[in-house]
Parts: sequence; C-alpha cells; structure tokens
Amino acid sequence: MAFLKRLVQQSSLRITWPTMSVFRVQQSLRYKSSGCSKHGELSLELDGYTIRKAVKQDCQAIHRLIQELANCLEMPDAPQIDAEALEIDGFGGRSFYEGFVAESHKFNQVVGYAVYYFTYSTWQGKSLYMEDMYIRPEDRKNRIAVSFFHLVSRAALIENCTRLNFCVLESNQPAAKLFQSLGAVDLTLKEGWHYYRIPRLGIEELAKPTIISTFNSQI
Amino acid sequence: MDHDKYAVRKAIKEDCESIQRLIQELADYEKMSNGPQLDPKTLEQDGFGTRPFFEAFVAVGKESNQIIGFALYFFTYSTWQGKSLYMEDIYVQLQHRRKGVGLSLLRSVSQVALSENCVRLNFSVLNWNSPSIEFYKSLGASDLTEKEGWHCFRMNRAEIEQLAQCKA
Repeated sequence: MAFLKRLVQQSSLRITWPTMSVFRVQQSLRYKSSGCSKHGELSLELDGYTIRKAVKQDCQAIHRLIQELANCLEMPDAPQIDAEALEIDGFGGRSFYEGFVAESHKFNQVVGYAVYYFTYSTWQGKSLYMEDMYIRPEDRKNRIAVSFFHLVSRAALIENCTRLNFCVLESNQPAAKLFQSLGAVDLTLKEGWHYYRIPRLGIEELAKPTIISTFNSQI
Repeated sequence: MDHDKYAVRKAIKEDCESIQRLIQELADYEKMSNGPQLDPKTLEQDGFGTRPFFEAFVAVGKESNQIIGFALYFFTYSTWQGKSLYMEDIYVQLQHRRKGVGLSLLRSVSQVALSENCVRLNFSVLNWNSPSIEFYKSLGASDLTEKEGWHCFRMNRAEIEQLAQCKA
C-alpha cells in the first residue's frame, strides 16, 4: 500500500505523537501472513509482541508507561491520575476510554499503549479520537506504532466512524508531515479551528447558579 | 436568563429533528453550509440508542414551545488528568441571543462535567469568530492552539479504511 511505502521511506523519522510520546517507524512493514488479524479481530501477533485490546489488569503497566512518557518529557509531575483511576475510568460501570497494549513475549510485560475514545460530529456522526500513544524506547522499531494505528482504525470501522481525530503540536513538524502523508488534514491551518480549554476552576465557576446574573446577558 | 421565557432541559429523542435544524443553522453561520450530512434519524440512533455517543441540552422558548438553542457534548479522557468533557456544538438562534440562554446551556454542561468529576471542558472555535472567542475567554477558557501550539488534525473515512487494511 502506498501509505506503508511512505512510512518505510521515513523509517528513521523521530515522531512525536499528540501528547509528545516518541517512537520510530519501523523499516520493514511486512506483516507475517499468519499474524494478520482477520477482519473484525482487534489483535495482532508481531515478532516478539502481541498487540491486543487493553484489559483492566493492564492499568498498572499503562500507568507506569504514562509516567515514563512524562519523565521523558521532563514533566514528571504532570500525570495526576493513578492506576486505580485508570481501572475505574476505563473498565468500571461507564467506560471513558479504550486502549490497545503491546505485550513483549520475552519479558511478558506491557511495553506500549494507545488510548482512544469515541466522539461525535454533528455533521458526520460517530468519530474516534486518538488521545495518546507511547512505546518504550527499547521496544521501538518493531512495527508496534503502525500496528496501533492499524487496530485503532479497525476499531473505528467497527463502529462505522467517519473521522479519526487527534492533536499535534505545531512544533512537531515530523509528526505533522507523517500524518499528512497518511491523508490527515491540519484543520487549524486549513479551516482556522482553535482548540480551547476551560480548566476545573472555570468549570466550577460556570456551574454556579449565580453565573447567569454575573454575566449580564452577554449571550 | 429569563425563566419566564426560556427553559433549558436535557435533550430527548424527540428533539432530534429540531436539533438537526439548528445544526444546519450553525453550519450556515460558520460559512460551511454543506457540512452537515446527518439526518434526524441518525441523531436519534447515535444519541438515544443502546450506546449513546453524545448527550445534549436544549433551550426551549416557552411562548412558542420551540427549541431555540442546544449544546451537544460527550466525555473524553486525558491520560494525565482523567475524565474530561468535550462540547461539540453550542448554538442559540440569533433572535434569542443576549438573554442568557447560551450561558444557561453552558452552565448545564458544566454541571454535568462536575457530576462526573471532569477536570477539563474542551471545545473548538473558529479563529475569526471574535464574539465567541471573547465570550469564552471571559469565562477563563484558554486558546491552546495559540498558547501551546496544538493543531487539530483529522483523517476522513478513506484514510481510516486504508490504515485498517491488512496486507494479505
């Protein structure tokens, strides 16, 4: 496939994913024919790794990797949630995210993850948002990243999603170029969309009954 | 908001036709009239079926008993901070603005965010939409595109299908 060839050509590219995780794209992108997932299956076998849906028992490992990424980015205090919160939020009564993990056969441990959730476009319907992806440095160059992309796309198709969205830092041009080579469009540049956030304190203020009179009918 | 004239409540399945009409009005305002592709039935299935993909509030004009505004949202997740909420659309018809309706919708969405213990309320705004930008900044919102350099990227269906293909 053409896009896989482009990935091969960029095999030594240093990529930074939406929340600044770091990985390298593998040179050889051939799947073992026996390792190719059947239509609808959300798992893959690679040389030395299993890529599968995350389960509750993976949360400790995922949390460790989240912290590793933050350490790598020199933001060790950034992660505020623990493994228990990941368990409750992903595998409790209401699931707020889903994920894939890469499991190393050699060490029998999770060495990478991809977290995503379903979103909604009032124009085009069901969509998928890729929140985060990280692979340990020593486990890169093993087709894990492209496997995550592949399985997330399968998950999107199972739900009949029309869009796969994510954010990339403007400073991360290699990642932006790679995603553009996969057909992704930078909507900030193309249409002028800016990403906004109201933090917790702002939410609390907005939720107060007095907010309406405070703002004097501006909207 | 004048509670004699307007009421804000959780959207129900029967509101989807009105919501779809307002989605089109909002697209017209955003100068992207050809954007909306969904019909009311799809909204019904996706929002009120066995697996809801969104929730919404509607604002109703009491005199006309018509839906004159809506806010549509869904829950998201930050691996650093946990549960968050994304407001996909908020819209109030022109003739009903400056009456606190939009703020009431936003307040209702914020209350939902707090009930789920969300730490972030995220949304996107077009860079030319100065009235909205000014309003959101007055509420403490930050433009993360300007502040931190985040760009919104999208792959459409064709690209998803390509990525999902497996070499036989």
